[in-house]
Amino acid sequence: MELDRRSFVKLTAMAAATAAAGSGETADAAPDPQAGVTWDKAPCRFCGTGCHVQVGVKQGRVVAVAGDRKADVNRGLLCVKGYHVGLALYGEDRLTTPLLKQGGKHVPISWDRALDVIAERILADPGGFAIYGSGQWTIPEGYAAQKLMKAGLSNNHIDPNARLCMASAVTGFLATYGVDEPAGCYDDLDACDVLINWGNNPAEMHPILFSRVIDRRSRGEEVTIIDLSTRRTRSTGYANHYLEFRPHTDLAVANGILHLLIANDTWHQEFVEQHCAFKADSEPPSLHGRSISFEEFKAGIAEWTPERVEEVSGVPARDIRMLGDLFGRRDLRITSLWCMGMNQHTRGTAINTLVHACHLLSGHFGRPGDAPTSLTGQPSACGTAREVGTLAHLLPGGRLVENAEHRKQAEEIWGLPAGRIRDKMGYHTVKMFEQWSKPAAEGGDVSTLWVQVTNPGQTLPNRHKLFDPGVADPDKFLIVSDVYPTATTVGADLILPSAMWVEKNGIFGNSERRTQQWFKMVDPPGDARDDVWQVIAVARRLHEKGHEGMKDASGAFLFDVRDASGEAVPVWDWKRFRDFNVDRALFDEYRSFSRLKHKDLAPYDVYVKARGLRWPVVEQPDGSWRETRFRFSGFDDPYVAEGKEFDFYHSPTKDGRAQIWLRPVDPPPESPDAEWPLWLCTGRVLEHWHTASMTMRIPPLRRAMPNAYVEMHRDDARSLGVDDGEVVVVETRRGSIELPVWIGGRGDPPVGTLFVPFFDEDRLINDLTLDAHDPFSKQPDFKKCAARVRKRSPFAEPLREGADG
Amino acid sequence: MARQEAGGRLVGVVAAVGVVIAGIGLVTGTSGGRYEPVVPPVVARPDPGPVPPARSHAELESNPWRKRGVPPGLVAASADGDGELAPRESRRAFDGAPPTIPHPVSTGSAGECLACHGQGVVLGGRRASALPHAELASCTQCHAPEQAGFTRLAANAAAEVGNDWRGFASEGGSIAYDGAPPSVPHADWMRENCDACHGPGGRAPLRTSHPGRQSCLQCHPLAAATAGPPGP
Repeated sequence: MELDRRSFVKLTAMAAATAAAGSGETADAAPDPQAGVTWDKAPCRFCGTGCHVQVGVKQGRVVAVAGDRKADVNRGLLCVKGYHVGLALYGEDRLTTPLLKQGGKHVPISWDRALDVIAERILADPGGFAIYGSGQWTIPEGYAAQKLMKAGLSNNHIDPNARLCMASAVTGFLATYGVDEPAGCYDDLDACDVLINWGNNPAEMHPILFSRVIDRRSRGEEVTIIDLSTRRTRSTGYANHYLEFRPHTDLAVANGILHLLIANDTWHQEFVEQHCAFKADSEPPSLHGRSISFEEFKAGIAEWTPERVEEVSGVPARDIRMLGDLFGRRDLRITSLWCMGMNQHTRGTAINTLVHACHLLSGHFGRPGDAPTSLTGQPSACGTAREVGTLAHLLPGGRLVENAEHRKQAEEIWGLPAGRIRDKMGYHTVKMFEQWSKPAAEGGDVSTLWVQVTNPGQTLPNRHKLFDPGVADPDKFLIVSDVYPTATTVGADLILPSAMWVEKNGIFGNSERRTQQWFKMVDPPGDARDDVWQVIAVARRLHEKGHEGMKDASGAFLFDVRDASGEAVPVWDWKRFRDFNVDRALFDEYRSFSRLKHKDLAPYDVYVKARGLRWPVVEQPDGSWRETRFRFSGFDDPYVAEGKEFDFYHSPTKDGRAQIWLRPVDPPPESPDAEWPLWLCTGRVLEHWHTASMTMRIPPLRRAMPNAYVEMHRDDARSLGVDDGEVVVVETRRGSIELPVWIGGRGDPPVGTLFVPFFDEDRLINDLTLDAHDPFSKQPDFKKCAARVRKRSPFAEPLREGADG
Repeated sequence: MARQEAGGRLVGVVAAVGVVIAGIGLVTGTSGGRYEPVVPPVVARPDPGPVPPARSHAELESNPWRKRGVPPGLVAASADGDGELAPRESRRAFDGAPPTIPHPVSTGSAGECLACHGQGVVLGGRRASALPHAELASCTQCHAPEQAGFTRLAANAAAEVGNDWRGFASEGGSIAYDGAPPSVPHADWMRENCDACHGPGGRAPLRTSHPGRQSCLQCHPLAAATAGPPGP
């Protein structure tokens, strides 16, 4: 019997109906051949890798997540956080209504009232208003906040948490190439013969990038992995070489490589003579230092013999020689990766420039697999913090607040009257919170602080100094937009409930210059609303209350958006907000800023069809848009002059040359001594993302890593007389907390070193950390300070005992 | 004819059971306090009585291939199917999520995992599934242990916040017509090795009745929507 199509369909329907009847649904219900799950793309909500996920939505809820096979970044694979990212939406304590602190309690209020409260605080002291934003802001969110502050309020006190995260990478790129962000991309990971992790643990922090390298081994390829670190981590297990250096001495290791390249005459003479120049620190210190000759560089680096490096860093001289030999070989492709180890460093700018110097002096640059690449921790640290320029000294597109020409350009694009943008840079993060935590009478001139999409109550260093006093001061006012209660909302005077991830439209920019767009897929809970709407609604309320800055030169509202027919859409009205794609309007306006530094962006609609595109994205004669993988390399970068192999066209010396820096090695601001004998390092773990406000609400992640601990070497534990699992007191000059000891656990620090993850809001390690920061990037050093451990007093309250406790 | 009707009912029963199990899995997988070793509750159900052989069993009986004497390793569906699948559901936040690890891990290196999961092991009632995917060497990147490094760490954690997640639960494959091979109700992405779950070492309700056949997708089509997001 031949089964025709009609009877086949009928039989299929019958089979499905039978199954439906068995599952308790009515047999009459039409079988749904699509099973009700619709899939759409989005970048993952968590880290800066920028994996794309496919989000499965059924009946208005996210029900499944899969790796996106069409995405270049992750090729269908995710990490354990990514697979569970959908659960981040459904923690039971989502914030769903604005809450105002009254009589010490958070009381529900209307959005209308909340907007009034904010507008009145701003109008009372416009110069004392500050916004502390985020590398988790979408590009349109950061752009809107930037515009509200710098264009509307003529106030530059806006800085993102990215200051705590990658500011030193930025200054490293600027000092070396004259323009921010990595020249290479993740394609380097497929081509490198050698991968060097500089104080970096990608097996936990950037798992997809790490597995992209080690899975090559499963396919029979050879990759040498070198782990330069101050403790053994999960990444160490996969490394061919583990080189352990004393905290803060990574500069010596890099100098040792530079020394050997010169001493062995293996430096790449042709590349250096054509494309590089030399720099050293100036007096007074400045980001761009002073130019020096090759001879001066050679003389300066001469002291860094392998033996000298060993003496300073503890890395055996033979291992320094091994590194020097690797960099000296032309037949190998070498990729360096780094993240917080080099960035959260009081010499962060210096070590960043030195790693670039190792690659430049050896010519390991600009060919696939030859790249110095910094990684970011947040999904849009590059897109929103760096490119939109939500830092206190920046305007969009790499422009500087203190550059008159740049201000003029921004005023023109924004249609502002001349002189609207203030010419003095605002407060960077540490300064902003110092001014917030200092009483007004003592010059603390930040009176109202609006925090969006971040959790400074947990992440600021030295919290007792930078966060707590401001919360306690009745004259200071803290506004926090977030999705869950956090260590920051606890201290907030006004809490605004936000929509998150696929509850809104968004655009992120990842670590490899890739701009990624997604659409809203489900509704936010209760009265939670988009962060970008919150900013526009506040601007409109200020406009209604007569703030002149909320109008452009033509008298139109700062966020005047018009539909296709030219009709103004009142997007500040929540009921009308979804009538219009605000992201598209803001992004297409922001695009016009992107050309100055050749970070060209395509129109919004091009990103809708792509799994992200790496800038510069340049329109082709046929109307298509082409991304750029290898910046400054003639074979790929359209802005390299015709016929040139390399061209550093934003060179700080304006001659097409990248800068090779000579940097001294100097001591950290605080080192262990007799009283405080241990190094304290802080960081992250695979299962939790940053302060874990999302991941602690995801059961499989929480169970795998339920609370913080202190890692210590078993010899240190023995000499203190403490047992594995015993709760001890960890303290520094700034504070103390109690933590269980974990010996031989996730990581394994050497004698004299502690490691504590910062995800646990019940054990705030940042009560202990140091707020000393890099002089150029202003990024604090969370990776080292002096600490001690003592046994708990026998009279202390016992903690809850475990089953085996 | 009678056999075909029984087969039709079986599809319904299996689907119903699957939905109930999925529900149990979700509850056990997403609620509760600190970690307890997973002993999934076995729900009391009426005895289903003698279980008819799987459809494909019957099919195989009449297969000339079998008559040539190739040992097919026929396996009948287990009467205790519900209990067998519950731990599987409890380890996944949704169908398609990487399962959590129901035992402690130390270093998390690939070698440690592959010792048992490379080919799969069944030992003393414990089952270590074979890898359904090749080439991926960073196991703990996707698979988190169900308990922290040691339980005293977990004992100090604050109370867990609830999560209202309701993950996708597959309703099982469908058949195009009576006698057709069932479709695959999930994506084949990362599940290239069908034997990992459906081979002789797999849980009884998932186990194939015809392990001698190696080209699974030749007969079992991927169901379009339930099979996950569109591929490249």
